[in-house]
Amino acid sequence: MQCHEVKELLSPYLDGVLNSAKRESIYAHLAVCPGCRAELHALGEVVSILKALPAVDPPAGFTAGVRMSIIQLRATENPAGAGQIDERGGQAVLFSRGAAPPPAKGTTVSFLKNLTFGKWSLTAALAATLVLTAGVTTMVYGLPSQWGAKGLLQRVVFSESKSGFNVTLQDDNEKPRRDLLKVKAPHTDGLPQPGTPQGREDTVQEQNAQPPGQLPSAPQEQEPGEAKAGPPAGRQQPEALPAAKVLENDESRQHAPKTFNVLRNEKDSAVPLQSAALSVAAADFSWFSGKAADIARASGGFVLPDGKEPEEMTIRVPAGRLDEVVGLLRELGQVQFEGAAVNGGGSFTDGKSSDAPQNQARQGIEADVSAGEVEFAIITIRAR
Amino acid sequence: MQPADGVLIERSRNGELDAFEQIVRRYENKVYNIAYRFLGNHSDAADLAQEVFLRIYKALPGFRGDSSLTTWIYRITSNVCRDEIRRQQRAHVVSIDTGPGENNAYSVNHLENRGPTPEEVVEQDEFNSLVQKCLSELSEEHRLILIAREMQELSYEEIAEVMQCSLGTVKSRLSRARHAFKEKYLARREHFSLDSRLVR
Repeated sequence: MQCHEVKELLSPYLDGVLNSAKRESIYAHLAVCPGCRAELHALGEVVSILKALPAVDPPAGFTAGVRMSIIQLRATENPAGAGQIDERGGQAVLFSRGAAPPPAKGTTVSFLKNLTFGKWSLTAALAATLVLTAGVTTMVYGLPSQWGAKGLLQRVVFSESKSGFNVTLQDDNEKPRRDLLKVKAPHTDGLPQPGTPQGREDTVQEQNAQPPGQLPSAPQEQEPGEAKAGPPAGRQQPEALPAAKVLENDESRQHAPKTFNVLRNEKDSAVPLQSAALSVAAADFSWFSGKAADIARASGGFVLPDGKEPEEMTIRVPAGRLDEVVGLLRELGQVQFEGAAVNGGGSFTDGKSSDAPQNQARQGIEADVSAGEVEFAIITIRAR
Repeated sequence: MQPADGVLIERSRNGELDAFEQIVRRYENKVYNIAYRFLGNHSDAADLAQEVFLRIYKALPGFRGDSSLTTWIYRITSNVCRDEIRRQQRAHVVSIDTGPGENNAYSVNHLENRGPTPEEVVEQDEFNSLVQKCLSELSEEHRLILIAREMQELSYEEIAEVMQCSLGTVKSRLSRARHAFKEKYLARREHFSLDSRLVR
C-alpha cells in the first residue's frame, strides 16, 4: 500500500472503523513509514484538540424563550384559531391532529372570526364581550370584602357617543375623575389586525411612546406627594388613553352605559398602590383562558385555582414581565380595548359578583410579601 | 423517571406545551453546543438554537419516527446551520467570540481540577479561541462533520443518517475535514506561543 493510499485511510483507521484486511495493511505500512506515523499522530492530536473544546451552556432562560416564541408563533399564525385549541388536563393544546372544524355560524368562534376580520358590530361586541381585567398590585391593599367599607371602590363607566366609546372613572358621587379609555369612532372598515405593526404603532404613540406591549404603568397621579385632585371632568389624560379604533355601527350606539366598580386609586391613602388595568373584548373564554394560561406559565407565572365563577380565571406573572405578558395577550387577536391604566387601580369588579379571584390574588400577594419572594402581578380574566 | 422521547413526542403532538418544553430541555445543550461551535459566538448561537426548536415544533406533526428523535434533531440543527451560513454569506457577517470568558466552562473546570495560574487560564482561553477560529474557517460541511464526530461523538452510522449520506461519504468527508483542520491549525500555530501540539 502506498503512502497516499494510507493517508486517505488514516482517519477511519484512527476511529477503528476499517475492516480487518485494510487495518492490517495500514498497520504494516506504519511500521516502516515514519512519515505516515507522523501523519497519524497529527490526526490524533486534531481529534484530541477538538474533543477538548469545552461544552458551553445555553443562556439562562433559553427554554422559556423558546416557549414564548412558540406561543407568539401560535398567536401569529393562528390569531383567531379558536378551533385548534382546547384544554387537556390543564395543558394547552398546541395543535390538533386533524384539520380543525370550521366554526359554525352563530357560535362564539364564528363571532370571533368576524370580529377579527372586521365584520362585527359594537352591539355584538358589547353583548359578547369578555372583559379581561388586569389588576396589577405590587403591595398589599385591604381585603376585597373591605374595599367597599374603606371607600376603595369607584366606578368605571362605559358609555357610547357619536365620537366613540368611552371608559371613564368616577367617584362615588358620580363625578368623572378621569378618562380611562377612549375608543374613537372608526374611520376604517374594520379593526386594525391585532399584532400588526400598525396596531402596535398606534398604541405606542398613544401611550406616550412607551415600549410596545407595555402597560401605561403607574400613572403620574399615583406618585406620592402629587396633587390629589383629579383632572377636570371629561378631560383626557393622554398618558392613560391608548385608543383602539373600532368599526362604526350606528346600531351599536343604543346601549346604556355599563358600569363597573374598580378598586380606587389610593392616592389619598397612605397605601401607595401601584397598579394598572386594562379591559379587552374576546369571544370564546375557554380558548382565551387556555392561551392566557400558556402565556402565564411561559413567563414564569402560573394560574390560580379556579374561582367560583365558571368563566373567570386569575393568573399571576412576575411583575417585571407584566408588559411582556400583556403584549402577548394583545396579540391573541381578541383584545379590543386596552391600556386603560387605572391609577392605583386593582381588579375590576361589578360590585355584585364573587370576590373569589380578588381574594385569591390578595392571598397570593400576602404570601409573597411574607416570604420575601419575587412580586407577581395579578391578572384577572372574566367573561362578560 | 423521565418520560421517553417517544412519550414526549406523542404528548407534544397532542399539543402539550409542557411536553415539548421537556424535549427542549433534553436537547438544548446539544443543539446549543452545535450552534455555538458552528457559528463561533454566543449571540448567534442562541438565535440559531431557538430557530432550531421552532423548526422542530413546526415539523413535529410530520415526524414519522423513521429515525430517532436525536438524529432528527441533529438533522434539523444541521440544516438550520447551513441556512444561517448562507444568510451570513449574503450579508458578509463574521463574528467570533474571543478572549477570556469565551470558554468559561472550561476555565472553571480547569481551575477546580488543576489550579492553573491566571496566565495559564488566559493562555487556554486564547488557545480555545484559536481552535474555534480554525474551525470557523472550514467549509460548513467540514465544520458540521467535525462537530458531530469530535464534539457530539456521533458514530459514523449516526452521522450518515443525520447528513443523509453513505458510510463511505462519512469516512472520506471526515478524513478531509480532519486534514483541513490540521492545515488551518498548523498555519495559525506559527503565531501562537503555546507548545507545539501537532507534529507536522
